[in-house]
Formats: sequence, structure tokens, C-alpha cells
Amino acid sequence: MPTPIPGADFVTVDGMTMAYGDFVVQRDLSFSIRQGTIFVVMGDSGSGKSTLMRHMIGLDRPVGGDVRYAGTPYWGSPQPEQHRLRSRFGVLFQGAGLLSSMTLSENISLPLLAHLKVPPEEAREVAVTKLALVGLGGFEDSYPSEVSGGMRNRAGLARALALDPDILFLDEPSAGLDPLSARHLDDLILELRASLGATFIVITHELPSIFAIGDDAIFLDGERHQMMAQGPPREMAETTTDPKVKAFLQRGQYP
Amino acid sequence: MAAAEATVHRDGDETLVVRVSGDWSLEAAAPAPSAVEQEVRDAPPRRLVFQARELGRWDSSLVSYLASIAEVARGEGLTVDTTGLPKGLQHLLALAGGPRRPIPPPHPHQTLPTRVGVAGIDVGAHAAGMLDFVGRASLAVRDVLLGRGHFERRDFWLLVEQTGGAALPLVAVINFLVGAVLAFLGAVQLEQFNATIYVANLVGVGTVRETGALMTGIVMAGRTGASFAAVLGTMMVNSEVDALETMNFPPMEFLVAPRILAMILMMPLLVLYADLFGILGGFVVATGLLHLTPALYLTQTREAMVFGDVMVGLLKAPAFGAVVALSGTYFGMTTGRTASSVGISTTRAVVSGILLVIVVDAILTVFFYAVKL
Repeated sequence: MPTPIPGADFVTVDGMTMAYGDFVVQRDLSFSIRQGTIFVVMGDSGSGKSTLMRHMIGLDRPVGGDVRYAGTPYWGSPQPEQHRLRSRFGVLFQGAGLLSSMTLSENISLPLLAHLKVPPEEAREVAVTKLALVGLGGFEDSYPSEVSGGMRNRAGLARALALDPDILFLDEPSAGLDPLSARHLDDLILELRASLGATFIVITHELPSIFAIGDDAIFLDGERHQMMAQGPPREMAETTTDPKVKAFLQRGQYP
Repeated sequence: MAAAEATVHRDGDETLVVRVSGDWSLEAAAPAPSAVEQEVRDAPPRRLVFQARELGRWDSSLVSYLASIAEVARGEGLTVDTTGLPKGLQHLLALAGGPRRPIPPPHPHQTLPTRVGVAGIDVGAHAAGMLDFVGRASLAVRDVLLGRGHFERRDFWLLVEQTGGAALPLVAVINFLVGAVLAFLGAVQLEQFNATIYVANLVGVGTVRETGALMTGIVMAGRTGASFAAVLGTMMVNSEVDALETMNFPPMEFLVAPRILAMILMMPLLVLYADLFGILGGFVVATGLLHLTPALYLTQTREAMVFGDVMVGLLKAPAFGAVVALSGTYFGMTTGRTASSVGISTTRAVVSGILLVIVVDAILTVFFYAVKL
């Protein structure tokens, strides 16, 4: 992947159509994400937000179109190139997807040990640092089942950060969190963006989060199976003509 | 408690008035909406008016009664006036009056040939999927053995412990009992010829050639095959497998290969252990109940068995281990995304594991007979 240029288009989804069997989830999606921004994917339940993420990170192959990272198409590339692109991603899955048989620090060390061949003590040091970064200092040796859902999400975020990725995909990071924890997570994402300069793609339907962190956003419609709106969330809330997007965004209060 | 009642009358040609009264309860009998609906359809007025002046207590039975009529009335193009109803009822009717999707027709009854066909296609799809899986798993095992794959040594030894050591008590009990049963079976028949001593031959050869490996294979399908499917299935549900894949850990090398290797490695050892307990079961029955002396029984056992007999069992073992591990991991890795799909996968893993063990046993038995081993 070439060096990202701040502010330039970095991720481009180009005419992507996603389907499971005969069921088309989303048709002909096209949008660009600028480097160093926080891009929010919103939409109603079942509109294909997580599916879009799966197609962008290489878990499911789109039936049409492609996604390009700094110009390199993911699906149009041979497998070694796909692996190289993937190694620049950090992914937080819904429910965190931590390996339940490993402690939090082992979860985070795993990619370091395997891909960078870092010595174990050093990997643990990095893991401890990343956990402290998300406010989980002291929980290095806890198992995922021993901590709360919010802490699991943050540990998942720490694992996503393990290899200092260029792009972070976060699938509903604040799902199931109380408003205060959700707010802390938003602040954390903003801080990480400021300090790491990474590009964030965040799936969420939490309105406070959308307005607090989103630089740009798209709205996916689960009934019409297409993208209904695109732009900065506040602007979208004021200028959208689509009744569904309007209802979605104006339900929340924004200053 | 007054009975629930509904009366209908026409107020001129244009208006149909439905008056509900009494106590409406789901527990008591209530009028059916069909009579009013029929009237609406037969001679549609312009307006439908609901009134409820003498209405007592009411619950969902009244709401669904009125909503059903209102829907038919709207379908006929009538205006529906609900202002004569209590406020709460009006709100509920407004909520229930949203656009309804037609109820899909119930699954048509499938005829026997259809069901057989559908099941056949399902089996075919799984067979094809499994064949593809076997290919990919073999490549992953090869890569791991050549040191090219991602492989967690610690995980592997943990799996060896789970599939080997932890299964010992169960394998011991089952094979001990099967050995004892064989001895009884043989005793009853052989006593007729005054040849009770040959119980030792039956138990010894039967155990090491056949039942030791077969019973252990079945036990492992139920125990370890199920556990593989449940663990991998849960990892699928929790996105753990997806997470591994996005971190560039091929799940086949990381999750499947070590399980297959652990089973192939442990099965011969378990079978050897099973053979000992099978013979011990026969020994206890023969010496305790059939009045054979221990020394005689053991000598007879040793003379009955040749090295080839033991080898047959030990050669079957890794094959059984492979099919049990493959069906466990295959169904685990093809689990859907819900909790119930883990249950389905586990069941399928056990059923196909046991089935495959017996099929492979039959094939190998014929093969060993053909090569005179």
C-alpha cells in the first residue's frame, strides 16, 4: 500500500453490489473516504452495514464492483497483495470477537508474534501499552469472559490497534454500552485519530456518536437496498430530502 | 361480568354502526369479526362507525376484533370512525392499523418424494462441501507439518491433552465392559462344546482387531468430535474465526490442522489402551465367573493373538481419528451465526462422525481380509 496522503481519497468503494445467494443486500454502492477522517456507516437494522464491512475487509466477495485502498483494488489483487492490504487493517467486530481461550494481553500479542516475529516479552509489553491506551491497564491477564461487554469492546479496539493499522474498521463499538461509556469510547476514537492519524470506518446507529465523531457518513436503506445519503452528518441532517434519513437523524438532538 | 357483545345496524345507507358492549376478555368467548366483515363486503357503506357506550372491561380480544374489521373496511374504501371508542382503544387501533404485510402461506405440505429429494440434495451439498474441506484441510496439515503454516504449539499440546489423556477414563470403562460382554457371549456358545478356554481367543482377537478401535472411534466421535464442532461453531458465532482471518491467520492452519493432527496422533495410543482394557474385561469375567485360572487365560490370550491382529486395530485408529476430527471441524467451520446453529452442527458432527467411523471400519475390514492381514 503506498503511503497515505492526509486528506486525499484513501478508500474508494466502486460500484459494489453485495448479495447472499439471490438476496441483494445493497446495490451499486460508491463512495470515497479521505485519509485521516472518521467515516460513519449508518442505516436501519438489516441494511447491510456489517455486510459492507465484511466485503471491505475481504471476508465476503462482492458480486460486483471492488474496493480500492490508495488505488490498489482489494478483490482485483492476487492473494499475497490481499494479505498485505489486510495487514494494514485493524478490525473490531461486533461483540469484539476476542479469542475466548486467551487472556486479553495474549489476544493482542497474537498478531505481533505471528506477523512481526516480535519476541514474546516485547509483544507483551506492546499489548500492555495498547490495553492501557484504551483504559484497560491491570486487566492484561483477565480472560474475555471475565470482563464486561464494554471492556471487551475496548480490548477488541486495543487488538485492532496492535499492528498500528492505517485503517480501523469498528462495527458498533458502543453497542450495548451505557451512555457514559459510549461517550468515553467516542472520545477515545477522536484521540486515537488525532494521535495516530489513522482512517476510521465506524458502523453505528447511535446518534450522539454519529454527530460527535463523524466527519463523513453514508446512510444505507435496508428496504430499498441502496445508499440514500452521503456527506457530513450534520449537513446531511439539515439538507436531506429523504424522509427516512431525515427521521433517522433528526430523532436525536444536535446542537 | 357482562358477556361481550357486538351489534351492527345501518344508520341510513351510508353508515354502518358497530356497537360493542359488555366485558371483552381473551379468556371468555367473544364475537367473531367475520359476521361484520361479511356485511361490510356484501353491501359496502361509505362509513364505518365504532361505538362503545356500554363497554365494560376490555383487552386485546377487543383490539384484534376491531382491528380486523377496520382493516377489511379500509380495504373496501370505507372511512373508519373510531372517536366513539375509549382513548386508549383508539390509540391501539391506530397503532395496529399500520400497513400489514400479508401473512405468508404456511409451508405447503411436502410429499414424501419431495422430502426425500430435498434431503438428498442436502446430503449431496454436504458431501461436496466436505470433500472440498478435506482437500483444504490436507493442504493445511501439510503446511503445518512442513513448518510453513501458522501453528500455536501451546494450543496443540492442549488439544493433545484434551483428545488423549482426558478421554482415558471413558475409553477404559467402555472397552472394559465391551470385553466383558464379549466374554459372556463367547462363554454361552463355547460351553456347549466344552471349549470355554477359547473365550480368551474371542476376546483377545475380537478386541484388538475390531472392538477396541471401533468403540474408541465411536466414543471419540461423541466426545471429541462434538467438542470440536461446538468450540469451532461458537468461535464462528462470536466472530472469532472472522477476527483470525482478518489478522491473516488462516483458520484451516490455525484451528483445523492442529485438531486433525492431535486426533491422528492420539487415536493409536487410545486404541492400544482400549485393547488392554478390553482384554482385562474378558479376563475378569473368565476368571471370576467361568472358573478359568488367570495364568491359563493369559497364556491362551497371548497364543491366540498374532502381531498382525494388533496391527489391524492400530492401523484403523488413525483413519478413525481423521474422519472424526474432519467431521467435527467441518461442521464446526460451517456453523451459521446463531446459538441454535451450534447445536445443529454438533449433532451433525456426532452423527456423521459415528457413521463414517463404521463405514471406514467396514471398508478397512474388507481390505485387511483381502490382504490377509
